[in-house]
Amino acid sequence: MKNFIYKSIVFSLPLIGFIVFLEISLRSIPNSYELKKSYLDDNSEFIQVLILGSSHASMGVVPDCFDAKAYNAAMTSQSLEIDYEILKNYETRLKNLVSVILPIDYFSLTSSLKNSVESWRVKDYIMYYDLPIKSSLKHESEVLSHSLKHNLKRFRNYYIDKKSEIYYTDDGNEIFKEDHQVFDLATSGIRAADRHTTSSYDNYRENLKILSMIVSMCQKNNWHLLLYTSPGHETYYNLLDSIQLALTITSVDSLAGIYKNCEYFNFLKDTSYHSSDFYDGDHLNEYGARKLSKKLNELF
Amino acid sequence: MLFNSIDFAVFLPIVFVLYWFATSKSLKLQNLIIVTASYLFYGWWDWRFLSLILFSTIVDFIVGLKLAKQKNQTKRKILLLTSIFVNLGFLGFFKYYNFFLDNFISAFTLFGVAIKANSLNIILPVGISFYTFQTLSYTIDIYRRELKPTKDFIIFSAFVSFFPQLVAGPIERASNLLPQFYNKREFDSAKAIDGMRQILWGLFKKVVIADNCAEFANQIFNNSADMSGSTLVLGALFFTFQIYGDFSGYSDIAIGTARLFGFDLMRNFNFPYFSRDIAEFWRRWHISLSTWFRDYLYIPIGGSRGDTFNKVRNIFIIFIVSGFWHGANWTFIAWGALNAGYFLPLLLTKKNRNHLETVAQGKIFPSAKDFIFMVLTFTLTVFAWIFFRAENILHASSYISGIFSSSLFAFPKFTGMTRSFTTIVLIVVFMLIEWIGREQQFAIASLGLKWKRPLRFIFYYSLVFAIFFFGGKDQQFIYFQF
Repeated sequence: MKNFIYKSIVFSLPLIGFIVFLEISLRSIPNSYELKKSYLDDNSEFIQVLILGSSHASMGVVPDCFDAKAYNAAMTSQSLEIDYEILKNYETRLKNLVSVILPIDYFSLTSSLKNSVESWRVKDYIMYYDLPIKSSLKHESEVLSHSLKHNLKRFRNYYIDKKSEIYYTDDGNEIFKEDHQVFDLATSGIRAADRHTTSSYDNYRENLKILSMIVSMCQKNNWHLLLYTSPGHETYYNLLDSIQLALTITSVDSLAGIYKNCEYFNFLKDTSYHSSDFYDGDHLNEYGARKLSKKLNELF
Repeated sequence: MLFNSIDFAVFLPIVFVLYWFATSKSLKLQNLIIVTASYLFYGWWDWRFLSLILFSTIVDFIVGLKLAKQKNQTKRKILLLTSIFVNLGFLGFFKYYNFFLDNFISAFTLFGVAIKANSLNIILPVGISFYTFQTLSYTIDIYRRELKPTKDFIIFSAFVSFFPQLVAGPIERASNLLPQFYNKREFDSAKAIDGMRQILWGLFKKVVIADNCAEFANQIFNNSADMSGSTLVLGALFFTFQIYGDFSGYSDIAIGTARLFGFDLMRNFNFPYFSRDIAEFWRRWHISLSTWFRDYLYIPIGGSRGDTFNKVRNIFIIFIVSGFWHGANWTFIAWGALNAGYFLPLLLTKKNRNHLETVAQGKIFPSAKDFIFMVLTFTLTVFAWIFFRAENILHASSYISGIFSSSLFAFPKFTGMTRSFTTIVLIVVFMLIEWIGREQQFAIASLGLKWKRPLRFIFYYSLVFAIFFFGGKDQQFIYFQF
């Protein structure tokens, strides 16, 4: 037994040393989740309009277009259960909050970050956002939550190539790219429609329950909840599954009909958005985002 | 709990320490630790299905005891049928209910009779096909008076639920595994180190080979209508290595883990892709299932005895049942029937036992004849896997007709083609290592043992590095669904 333990330790020590070194190095990289948490910790009481949701909101809503003090807490692939946890975490500290803006898009009720291909992002909410999300043990660690290939690339990008991992402005919206339309609209629209179309409705009931909890929390705190479906390019919305889309829209529409504090607007096929307003098939660029943000501001 | 998960990486050392340090002085406690750990391991997926294992265990434990005491042959038969009914009943309900219902409705619809019946939303308990077969072999062996029943319920529970092989085999025989729970276990350092090496190789097969192949196989199979013939061939090849890496990888981890606890499980794979004919392939692929069907189905229905009709019938029965065991889909039945078709000429010409020894034993290269036979057998296997992987028969036939088109000679093209080159290189390296180690229990069983420690460690670290480098995809093991 001693021999086995000795050999196991000798073999494992360099591995453990490397893993610890990499874990510490990756955790030391300043990231967007830390940044958003830090902002919310320090400024919750001043925020009047809080924007939640996925990249459709983080790229599509610009806080400086609002008359009131707004903050964009949306993040890439952030699903409803995370939105709810953020709200719950800051509920008592959002003393001046008037409105919550939450996009309910084609995939919002059928997807969940935990069950998606981007589930590795859960670790960011656990480790940097301190949200009490129940998940696998591996999401407590940078090294274990993603492949070594990905982690070494992050290490190189930050420590060798000096690239930042902060992708958001001080107001929380995504830093707009200088090139307003990087992706071909047709291809990216097709790909996004395919990616967002679900093969199962397993998450639907749970997401609807979470959305109802968000609505209830807003009602309890007297916050106005503005739900909307983001504008999409025709290359995207023409390929959406009609059943999934109808289910999403009727569900959110009926919810908005029940609660007085809740309103819903569908901008998916809004004709005021043109090709020049899109970054790709399903995301707005800076022009489109400012257009949408002004519209949302006017709705208050 | 997946073998390739952090949960298992934490679970295993805890159980190991408890097993060897906290309870090493008591065999009963060690067995109890195994049962507790096994139930925890299984319950990690869905604790509700633990009741199924427990129920099967209780039924077969009681049936086993009663069978040994009972002398009346009719009553003995009733007891055996009880065990078969309970085990196959669970299997039939959870795995095949919807399949039979849908086909029943379709058959009546064909004759113009409309039947209204709703499919049930049934969750298939992980590994149900494996542990039900394992417990069935126990009662059948006692019925045949080839085995004496155990009177120790903890030992029997440990035999049924032994966590390394609970969810995807090897499907153990009571005659091999059960006595090991009675033996006092002495820690054998060499055996444990060997087990660790086998776990490492199993993880490499699963995480590096199978999971990487899965990415491309899924992409090609899921979009097969848009792919060229050559790309479809590549997709079938990726799946061929995916299923081997996945399933034999699982078996290696299972056998290696069992060795850490002082147990020897039966071998499940013996380098099947180096087979020279289909009969040899089936002696080397999923050995625990093949031998189970041989002993409990093929031989009882007559085996290769009798006239040609009987031989043909028996071969088709065993292969089709074996295919159907894999899943409630006509594709598995077609896969089984196709393999029966491959096997039959060998049996009828009495050439099915031509290749009993390992190919090119003691040599570096195979003979030209062996090499050609290996390539032919591999090609037949790849073709059969298309049925196994396809969503339905229509998908399989369109996939095959897509292969035999003019685009068969075009350069393969699909999203991620460039990335797939790395995977192809990995497959080549993997198969080379498998070839070098083909006379061992597993490919790296003796590879590097005579090297100097730094060099040996570099080799092992390279495997660990590859596992971490390509890991993180969290792919399920294919055979969990069976």
